[in-house]
This record gives sequence, C-alpha cells and structure tokens, in this order.
Amino acid sequence: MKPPIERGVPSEHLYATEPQGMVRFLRRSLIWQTFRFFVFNFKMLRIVVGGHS
Amino acid sequence: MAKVIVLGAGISGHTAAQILKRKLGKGHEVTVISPNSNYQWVPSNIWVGVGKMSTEQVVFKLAPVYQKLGIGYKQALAVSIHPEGNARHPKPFVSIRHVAPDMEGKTEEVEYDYLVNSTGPKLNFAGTEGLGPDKFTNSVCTYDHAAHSWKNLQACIAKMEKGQRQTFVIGTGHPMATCQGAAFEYALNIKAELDNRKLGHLADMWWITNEAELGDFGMGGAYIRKNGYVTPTKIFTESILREYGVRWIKQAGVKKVDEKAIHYEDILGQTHQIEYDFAMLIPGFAGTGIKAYGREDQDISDKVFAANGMMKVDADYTPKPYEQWKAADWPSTYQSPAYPNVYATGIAFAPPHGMSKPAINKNGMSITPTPPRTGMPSGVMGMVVAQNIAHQVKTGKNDHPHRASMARMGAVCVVSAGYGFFKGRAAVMTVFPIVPDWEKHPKWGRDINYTIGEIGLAGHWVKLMLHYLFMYKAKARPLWWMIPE
Repeated sequence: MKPPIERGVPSEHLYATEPQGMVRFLRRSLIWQTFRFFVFNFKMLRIVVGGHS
Repeated sequence: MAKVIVLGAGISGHTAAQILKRKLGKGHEVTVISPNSNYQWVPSNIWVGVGKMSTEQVVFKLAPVYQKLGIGYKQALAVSIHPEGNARHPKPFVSIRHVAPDMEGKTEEVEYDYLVNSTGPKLNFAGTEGLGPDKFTNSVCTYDHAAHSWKNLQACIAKMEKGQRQTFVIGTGHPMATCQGAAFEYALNIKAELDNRKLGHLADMWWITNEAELGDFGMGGAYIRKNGYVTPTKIFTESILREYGVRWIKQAGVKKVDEKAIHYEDILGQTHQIEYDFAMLIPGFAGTGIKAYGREDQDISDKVFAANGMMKVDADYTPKPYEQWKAADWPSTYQSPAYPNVYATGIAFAPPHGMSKPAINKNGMSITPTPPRTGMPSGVMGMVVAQNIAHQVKTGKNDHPHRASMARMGAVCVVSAGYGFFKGRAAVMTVFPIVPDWEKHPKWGRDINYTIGEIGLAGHWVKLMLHYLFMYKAKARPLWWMIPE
C-alpha cells in the first residue's frame, strides 16, 4: 500500500504520471509478457550484434 | 611466448582473461592478479540485499575456474606498475602484495609483455563523512555489503511488524557518485518486498540523487519512443517511483551522514537534512591507488593515470565545455597513450568527461553524476582488448582490428523492481549508443529505434536469464564462449 499523498505539499511526485488498470494488467499478463520477453531478447541481440566490431 | 597480466577479476577482467586464454592457447601465459578469491555477478547483489538470493548464488571461487582454463592466478593486490622495467628487470613488471592466507604479506614482481588494468574502482566511502557499512549507511556494491544490508533491513522489518514506521533513504552518497541504476533497483526491491509482507504502508520511502533530473542515470538521460510519444527517461523514472510510493530529492550532494540524518547541499547551495532508519547510499568511485614508476624508479603516475586515479587511454582529455563534448572524445581501443602494451577497461579507464551536464552550486560543489562504465560495456571492453592483444601476439602487428567505443556501442540495462517468477518486475532499458552522439543523432542524441524502456514481468525474466547465463559463462562451462557479451 502506498503512503497517502500529502495534499498541499509542493512536491514533484504529485505531478508524475501513474499507470492505470490496463497497463498494470499487461505488465503481469503471462501471454503478453511471454511475447515481450522474446521481443526484448531480439532487441538486445540486435544491440549486441551491432554494437561493437 | 607472450606473458599477459590481467589486473582484476570482475566482469571486465574475468572476460578479458577467459578470451585471451582461449585465443592464445597453451603457448602463451595469461595470469590474473586479483585480491578477491571469488567472482561475483554484481547485478544480482540487489537480490542478496533483499534476501531473495544467497551470497552463494552470486559468487563462485575463481581458482578452480582458472585452473581448468590454464590461466595463472595470484590472489594479490597490485601495488605499482613499472611499464619501463627498472635496473633489476629489463622487462615491464607489476609489483604485487599477496593477500591469500598462506602467502599474506609476501611481495612479488611479475613481468609482463601486455598488461590489462581491470581493477574496477575503489569504493570511496571515506569521500563522504559517515558513509559506508562500517559507519552509518548500507551498500550493495559487493556481495558481502549486500548481505550486511539484508541483515539491517530485516531489523527494520521486525520493527515494522510491531507497527513502527520506518524511513528508508536510498540513492547516491556523494555529489559525483555514479551507478544510480543499482541504487534505484534497491529502492524498488525494498518497497516490493515490504508490500509483499503487507508492510508497505509503514514505510516512508525516499530516493535521493545527485542527478539534475530523475532518469539521468549518469548518461544525460535518454529518450524512449512509446505510445505515440518520444518520452524522456525523467517521465519514465518519476512514474515508476510514484507508482511505488517513493518520493524523491534530486540535485542533492550528500556531504555527511550521522547516526540519525543525511546532510546534503542542493543546487542552490542550501544545506538540508533528512532523517532515516535505513539508508543505502552509493559511494563515489576512485582509482585503486596503484602507482606507476619509470626506468629510474621515478614516480610517473601523472603520466599513466588521471587525477582521479583512473588510467588514461586513447581518449581526448583536452578540457572543454559541455557544449563541445563529442562522441569522438571517447576511447575505442583502451590502449594507454604512454605505453602501447598497457590497456585499461571497465571502471579502471579514465573517461574523457561526463555525459550528464555539469552542475555546480554557489559553494563550488559539483553535483554531477560521473558516467557509468559497469556491466555490459565493461564486458565488451574486456572482450575487445583481449581480441586485440591476441591479434597482436599472433601477427606481431601493433594494430587494433576490434574497437568498442561507448559512443559506438549500445547497452542493455535491466532494472529489477521486485523478485518472483510470477510476481517479479523489472524495467528493461536499452540505449544506442551509450554516449550521446549529437552529431549523428542531432534530435535525440541516440538512435531512437534502438532505445526501449518498458516495465513488466518479462523484464524480471530477462534479468534472471542474464544472471544464470553469465554465471554459466563466467564459470567457463561447456560452450561458454558462444554466449555474447
């Protein structure tokens, strides 16, 4: 649980974006995350192959 | 027969030694000199610090691996290098002091044809009053520091289980510290662990950093293309912290820690303090203090090392303002300009300048992260230097067919945000190149097509996969050399 936001306290964290339901769901979805796992591996490999001679 | 000495057995030095031996074979000698008896996979220390991995899972003994590979190994501290030799030694040599229990205190002079300096940094806790595991703050820089942090964290958890609120302050402990990523991971992992134990509501979490803006990470920040926008890492990082309920203090130069509070100066030069129950602050990094001596045993350290103790390499060290920094200033072969058979990789090489825009407050305190050189770039540098030395030994030519400038290579950074095969999370960030190249990429500094930033369960799987993959590789198990850096 997050600490309550202190209203009226000038702090940058009040102006930050926060993910909502769909994004949170996708971050835990096994199907979507399995797909993203392969995407990440492909992108990492692209960097490794192209990154140094 | 060529004799190659590698100083240090961290990610860079260990990689260099493995590749050198594989390329050079039995006809040449490769020797690693390191005061540590263990190899540690540093990126997983975070999980030791929250009790999710034991120290045994992130370390292994170096000696059996080097014995298997035919690499010489001396558990010793490098004291000085003598790149011109001296009256006793016609060849260059390194002076070492053994630290292994059976030879402790004995000194030795080891000759070399090629030297790879991969010592890593000295963790300069003394640079900030009261900093470090021997004083008031915790650290995750080494596996034993991380284990100590977990012990202290458990004490806080025990208090929270009795209903007490606890304040956690995580971040950088020096105005010019780097490795914000590691501290950031630790903050998120602590919060995730407290939430798992249903204690998160009793935690006041603070992120304190020397960055001008969040998401700078010592590399001037980055831009991520996502959902129809190109977004700075500032937005990405602030969003994660808000989601985790972590508040932040930026542009903070920590100058003192006492048993109750952390004292810091802000960019306006004003002094503040924040009280804490548990603090983990990354120290500044410095050179390990190795000296260099010439033929007549005169001190030539200034010729070989920069003022911060890091080794000078093929970079452009001409002082210039931020606006004139160029990607071409960064080294690509890591060869010493003074001694062509000496190389420095990983944190041991002196960067030509930072990546983050310098910020100095009215009291003259520079509150600017130094550039990160850990992890993936360290391994790549070790590999490229090993390939070049092997090429020179085999061909007799003094050229460098392999290059790895941080301004030409990309990096993958996986920031853990919680552990668990189904409940874990991590942010996967990639940048290409690491050092912004504003001439080649005038709008964003980097190739936006290569840059990603995404948080989720898959990120945790990636970090876990990298842990097992690189531990396997470092242990030189069958076909280890097929795993890329």
